[in-house]
Amino acid sequence: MSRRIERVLVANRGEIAVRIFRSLAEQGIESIAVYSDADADAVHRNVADRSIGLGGSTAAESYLQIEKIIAAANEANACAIHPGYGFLSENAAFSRAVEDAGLVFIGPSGDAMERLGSKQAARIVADRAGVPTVPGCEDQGDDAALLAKAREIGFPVLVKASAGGGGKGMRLVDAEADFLAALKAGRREAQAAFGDSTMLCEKRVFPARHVEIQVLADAHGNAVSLHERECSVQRRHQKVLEEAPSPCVSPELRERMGEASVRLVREAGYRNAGTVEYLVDEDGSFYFLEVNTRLQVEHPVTELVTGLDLVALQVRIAEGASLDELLAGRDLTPRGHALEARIYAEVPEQGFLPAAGRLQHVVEPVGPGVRVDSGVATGSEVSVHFDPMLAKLIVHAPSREAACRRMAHALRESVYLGISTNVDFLCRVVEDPDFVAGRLRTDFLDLKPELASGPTDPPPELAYVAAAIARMVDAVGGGATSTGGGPVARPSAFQSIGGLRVWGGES
Amino acid sequence: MSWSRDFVHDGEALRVSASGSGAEREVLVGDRRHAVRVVALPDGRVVLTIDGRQHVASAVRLDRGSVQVRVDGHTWMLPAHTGGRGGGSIDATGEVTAPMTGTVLEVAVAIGDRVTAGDTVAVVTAMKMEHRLTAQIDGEVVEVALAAGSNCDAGALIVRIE
Repeated sequence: MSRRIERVLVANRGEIAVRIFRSLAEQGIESIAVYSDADADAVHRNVADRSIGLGGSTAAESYLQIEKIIAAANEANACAIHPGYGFLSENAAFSRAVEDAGLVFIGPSGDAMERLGSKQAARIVADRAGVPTVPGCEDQGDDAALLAKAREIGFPVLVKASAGGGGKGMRLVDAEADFLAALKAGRREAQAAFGDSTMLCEKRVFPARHVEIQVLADAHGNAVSLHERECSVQRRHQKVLEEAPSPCVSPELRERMGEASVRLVREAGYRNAGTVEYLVDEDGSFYFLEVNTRLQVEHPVTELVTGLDLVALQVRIAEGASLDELLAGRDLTPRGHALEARIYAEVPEQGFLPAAGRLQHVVEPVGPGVRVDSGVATGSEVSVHFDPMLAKLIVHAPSREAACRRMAHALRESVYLGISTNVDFLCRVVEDPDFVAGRLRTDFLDLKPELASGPTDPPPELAYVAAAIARMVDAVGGGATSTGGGPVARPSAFQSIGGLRVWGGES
Repeated sequence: MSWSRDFVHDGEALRVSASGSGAEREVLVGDRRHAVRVVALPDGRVVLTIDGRQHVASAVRLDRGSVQVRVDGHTWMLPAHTGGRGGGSIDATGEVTAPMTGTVLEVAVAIGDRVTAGDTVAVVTAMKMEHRLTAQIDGEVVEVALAAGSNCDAGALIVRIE
């Protein structure tokens, strides 16, 4: 049954909310933003057609409040809710609550989420679908029993949270003696992050590459693979750079992984966008890891090499359209190469500790083949309550080497000042010879700690000259970097006096 | 029309000052003079021409006068001489402080313990992840300011080593 979606509430914030609003606007669909108190001045709140406050400052008080979100959707007469990623996007109770409220959930059903949402449950579905899995064992709540099974699998093993990702709850255990402590710490982190301390224990497949397949499934039982992304460059098991296509995936492997992924999501009765994650080892064998039952952070690289708008497709699928209608006659073979860098508020030289504070000056790059999905602007406050990702910088170019050059240049053109960010670190990575050659593995950054620590030389003369001039000029009231609240830069003094430059002042 | 700041450069004090008006300026870094032509861009960046070469830059003021500057695609932290550590500076000190607002999960040392640089001293949770805090110097633990279970603000002292 097809029903036109005219108004969508986005139950999220930051760059993904902004990005979803953009697709909605292009499709002529009205958008509704929700925001916590701390996000009252946030970019995402201001770019929707309508915005409704949720109150609260932490995620738990705002973006995770199912009832408040549904109430906001009803207040605004929304037809549908898009959950973005993170927050409630993989929460089966939320999916059901939305549908029960007579709204359309732009994503899979609660049942499909439960079938695939926990890594343990997903492995069962993978086995049924004939998809190869990493040798592993389930958590029955008995630490000693899990240790015994880990012994059977053989060390080193990985313990990880069954309920979620992003590295939370994950620990590598080299030796039996470390297992119980790692399990305990993992359970604590998993409980805090996902409200579920169930763990999974898997053989460590190593060295390996992280390759995932984007799938789309409609309400008519059809599913299609939109091919792979490689996300091997990670720190603390969180992705830093992603790309499509993968330099290690041949057309034949692409087809096999795509078919396996389609079988798996059909076996699970899945609908809408999802991603099937794998490890690919040195022999080119692939092993199922988990399914992400939502749109992923790195979806733009798939969009750029296929020419598709995944959010628009998600909405159409949620309306009841079939994949045949949506993709008829399209050649989905990846074209060119896309690379995405995640820009984080963090201190790479101090173990990537998150940073918080006010972004006093933001300038984002533009140019052919350059796309910025950002949730921040000059004046934005980066809070401790949320994920420290500021923006995604995505480039597209005819070849992988050209994409690396384009990315390095775009990073150099980027300005995010006021807090520490990983921009310079990202630039060092994309210019690293092994990265440029596509020699990636999941421990890429562990093997190259100098990329994180960066140059140890003291600042060059030019830095001081530039600092003095830039501070002096900015002191002319109202420059983009001067203090003065709000996310939108006020016009600078020389702009507002009809082009006549006025100099002076001190700071 | 002038500007000046004392920085710490490679462990020593360095005075930087700028003067001039209009497009032509002069910057003094220690006792080295630089003639600079300046153009301000509408997006808040500036273009500096020094010895015929152009450089695009932006700079912001951080705590206690430290400056974070970005020029030619690199960002540098310039700590002010008042001792402000700014965000992200890595002076080795005996103070182990909370990197951000969170909760102290574990304190791994007690007063009197000897530690080596790199030893884990405490674990804090923030943003739902655990962060291991390590000693930056070798020495003896002389103060344990917070116990496991306490909340900590960004910058709060947890352990002091001498």
